[in-house]
Order: sequence, then structure tokens, then C-alpha cells
Amino acid sequence: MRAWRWLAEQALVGGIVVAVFLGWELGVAALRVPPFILPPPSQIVRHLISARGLLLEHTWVTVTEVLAGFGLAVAVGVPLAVGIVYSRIFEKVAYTFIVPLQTIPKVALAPLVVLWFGYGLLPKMLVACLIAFFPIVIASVVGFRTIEQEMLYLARSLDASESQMFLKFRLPCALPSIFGGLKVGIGQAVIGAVVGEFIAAERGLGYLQIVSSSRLETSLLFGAVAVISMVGLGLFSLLVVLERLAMPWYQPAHPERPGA
Amino acid sequence: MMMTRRLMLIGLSAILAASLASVDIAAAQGAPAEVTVRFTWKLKGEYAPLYVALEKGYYSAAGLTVRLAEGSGAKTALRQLAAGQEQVVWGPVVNAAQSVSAGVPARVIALYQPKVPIALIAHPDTPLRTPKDLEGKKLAYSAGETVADLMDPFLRMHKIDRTKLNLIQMDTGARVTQFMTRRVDLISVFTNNDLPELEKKAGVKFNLLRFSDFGLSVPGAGFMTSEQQLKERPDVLRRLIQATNQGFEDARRNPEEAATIMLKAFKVPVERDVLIQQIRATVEAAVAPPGHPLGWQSEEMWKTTLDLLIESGSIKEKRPLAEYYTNTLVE
Repeated sequence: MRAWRWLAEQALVGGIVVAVFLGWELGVAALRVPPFILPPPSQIVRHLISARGLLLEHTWVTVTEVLAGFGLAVAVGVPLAVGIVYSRIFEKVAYTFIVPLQTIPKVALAPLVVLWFGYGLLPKMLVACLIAFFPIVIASVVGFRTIEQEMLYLARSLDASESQMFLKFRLPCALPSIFGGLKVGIGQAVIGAVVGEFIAAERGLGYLQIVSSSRLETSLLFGAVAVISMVGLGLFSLLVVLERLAMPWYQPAHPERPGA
Repeated sequence: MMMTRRLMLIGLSAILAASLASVDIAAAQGAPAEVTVRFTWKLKGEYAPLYVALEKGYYSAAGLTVRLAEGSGAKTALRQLAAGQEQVVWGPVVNAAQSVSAGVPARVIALYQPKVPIALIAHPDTPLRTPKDLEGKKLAYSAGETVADLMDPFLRMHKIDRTKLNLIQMDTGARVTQFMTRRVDLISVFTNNDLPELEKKAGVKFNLLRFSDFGLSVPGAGFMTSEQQLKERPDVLRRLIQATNQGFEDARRNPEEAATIMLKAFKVPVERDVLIQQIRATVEAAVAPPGHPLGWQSEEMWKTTLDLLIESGSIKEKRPLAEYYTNTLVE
């Protein structure tokens, strides 16, 4: 009975997705929309297949930029969060800088980053880091502060040193929240890398978008967008796996499975 | 013993002197000088002559190792030139005029298009033969594009009431799709780049109004460099220009061959026939002023251009002409 219900759910979702794409395919054919305005999905898929080598080559560039930027955001963001949690003065100084920085549209900063660091990997990595950094810091701060006071009393009663309290109590308690920040951050890092490529690049999926847009190669443009989305999805899924590996004990609450 | 030591010293000195001399000779013969030419945009047919010069070994024969690199806008490239991050930029020299007027130490060292190959286009059923035809039309343009500088002086020159032309500012990419879907009547195009591509996509020949046919023009593409490069490597820059001129000659003689060479450089493939048309239009626009080599710039042209840019509000002040350009490397 449960299996049937699951199957019916999957069929419904699949049916809706197919209907949307079928409507798109038939709609552009019936309305004779030129392919440079809106190509049919079949043409996009054909382009994805025929240009797979090109897309793969540029995907690799973008993924490198995303991972480098995200890695930098984690390497800077998590220690910064630790500093914020442990020192009130550090918290005030850090927030004085990072909150205004967060409110600045990064697209406005990107030309400056390009001016200072040129056309290579570094400017894209920095833009990706700037965008991904804030959710990682905030989620980490929230995570490090979620520990219950009783747990801290318990740790102290066991004569735990400050580093033991951090590693055995604070960090495990913070992990669910940190991973929440990382999952938001990875999507932001993808956006950051592509924005960096929009501003100045010789390679990458953002570069492909700019070139295909200026040449009205709309199906390649859609192909690049689809691949960017797949990159984001892939990296997010990787984080989910890492989350499970890092916290095998963690069972998130689920509304349909009370008490799970 | 003493004698042997002296002989050894003399021998060592001789070897050292000989090796130093050989280094000097190597430097004089010239280990290839490295030059990066930054384009102001992604690859397009306009750059073909430079790829011809590269492929046919004109740069290496001139003792240069040239890297041709795509860019992301003239303003970015010029800023990086001023910051010392670029050596030579290829692109619209009007942008250099704007930058120099704003105090950026850049200089135009060779101009390949005395008249920018720019035009307004309309769909075949929209009449566009004379400036009077602009009245009542919707024209989409982007901030910073050449037509934004040309439009007001052009309308004044032909006594057209500005309020009768609907000028709509929008994003560069959006204006093309707005035109193709006929939401606007006119856009500006570079006849050596956008036009062949758009006509191929639309499958029609657009009506065309060239600014230069009606008395108004500004210079087009050329080489720009920083004051520092000009001071430190004039000979390298001179050789770069000479080798590029050879590339232009070859592309003019044989656009098909230039297209074959250029096609290899494209990361995203382009259609060969469109590319050939772009190259043809590019070499047609590259005209040597009478009695001067390709790349030479006239004082008159610069005066007119700067007056036009002042009139359009694109620059606030005119600096001495010598700060904008030099012919020393092409003469």
C-alpha cells in the first residue's frame, strides 16, 4: 500500500514535469516563436548533447572557481564565527565590517575585484567567497551559540579544558546549523563565480552565457543555464552526503514523521 | 706557481667576459618580447587580422611572442591598462578619448578604422533611407555605446526634433531581442560584427542608415597603450603595429583564408559565411589615410571627435591633443 502511494506520488510529479515541457515544446511550435527568442526543449537537449565537450570544458572552470571561493568562505567564515562567539569586542568589530559588506550588491564590487586582480581564477574566487561568506558566518555563530547551558555545566563538571569543550560539545551541537549555512553558501558561491565570469572572463559557464547571448545562440544559453543549475544541485547533494557522514547521529525533525 | 695562478685567473676572466658578451649578443638579437593584446570584447570577426598575423608568424618574425586575449568591455580594459595590468588594448578608441579626458594615462598608438562602421538598422518594412525617417521611431540603445554619443549631434545636424524620436535606454542584450521581436524599431549595429550575424538569424536584409553617409563619424578600433608602455617599449609596440598591418593586408587579400585561421580560435563555434562577411566588412573599414600608412591618425579627425564628445556630454574637457594619440610608431 505504501509502495503504491510512493509510486503514485512519483508518477504525479513526473507527469507534471513532462506536461510543462510538452506544453513548452508545442507552444513555441504553435506560436512560431523563433528559436533565438525561445528554443523548444528538444533543441536545448540536442544542443546539450552536441556541445557536451564545450560545456564540460567550461563547467570544469566554473566548478574550480566555485570550490575555491566556497573553500575560502568556509576557511575564513567558520573561524570568524568562533571569534565572534568567544569575544564580545571581536564580535562588534567583525559585525561592523561584515554586515555593511553583506548589504552591498556584489555585482557592484565585482568590477573593482576584476580591476585589482585581472581576468584569472582569483577574482571569481573572491566574488564567490564574498557572496557565500555571510550565510556561513551567521549560521555558524547561531550554531555555536545553540548549546544548552546545562551541557556547558556538565562539561565543566567533567573538568573539560576549553579546547575539549569546543571540540566535544560546542562543535557537534553547532554542526547542524553550520551545514545549514554551508548549503545556502554553496548555492551563493555558484552565483558568485558566474557573476565574476559575467564581469570579466575568458572561460567558464558565465563566459559561455555572455558569448551565446551576444550571438543570439539561445539554445546554448539555455544549455549553460541548465548546466549551472546542475552544478549547484550536484554540489548541494555532495554537502548533504558530507552532512550525513559528519553527523551520523543527527535526525532532522520531519513533520510527517513525528518523533523521528 | 704564482704564474700558473695568474694564468688561471686570466683564463677565468676571459671565459666570464666571453659568456657575458654572449648574453649581450642574445639580448641584442632579441629574445622574443612578450606582448598581451587585450580585446575589449569576446572573439569576433573584427579580430581576424591579428589572428592572421599570429598564425602566419608575422609577430614571431618581428621578435614578438603575442598573446591575444578576450576582454570584457573597453572601460575595464582601459582601467587595467592604467593600473599596469595590461600592455596593449585593441578596441574602440573613442573609449580611450573618454578615459584620457578623465585623466587616465592611455594613448592611441594606431587607428585602423578612421570611421567607425556603425549604422542604425530597421526591419525591411520600416523605411530608413534618410535621417528624416527617424522621426516617430523607437530607438533602443545602451548606456556607454557609441550611438549614445552620436545621436544628439546627428539629430541637431539634420534638424530633427529630438522629441519626435523615442530613445529608450536598456541592457545591451535586451535591445537586440527587443528589436528582433519588433518591440522597438531601430537599434545600432557594427556593420562588421553584429549585422551579418543578426541578418543570418532573422533571415532578412535590414534597412541601413550609416552615420558616416550623413556627415557624422567618429574613429573606430585601434591599438591603445599606457604612457608607461609607450615610454619603455616603443620599439616592441612599433613592431606589433607593423606585423598587425601585414595581417590586415593578408585578410584583405584573402578573407576566406583569414576566416579559416580565425575559426580555429573560437571557443564557441561560429558560422563560416557569417565570419567571412564580418572579416570583409572589417578590412573595408580599415582604410589608410591618403599618403600615410595604415594606423596613422589625423589631427583633424581628433579635433572633430573631441568636439563631438564635448557636445554630447561624453567628456567634460579637452586635454592637449598629444595626450590622446601619437603617430610616432606608425610613421
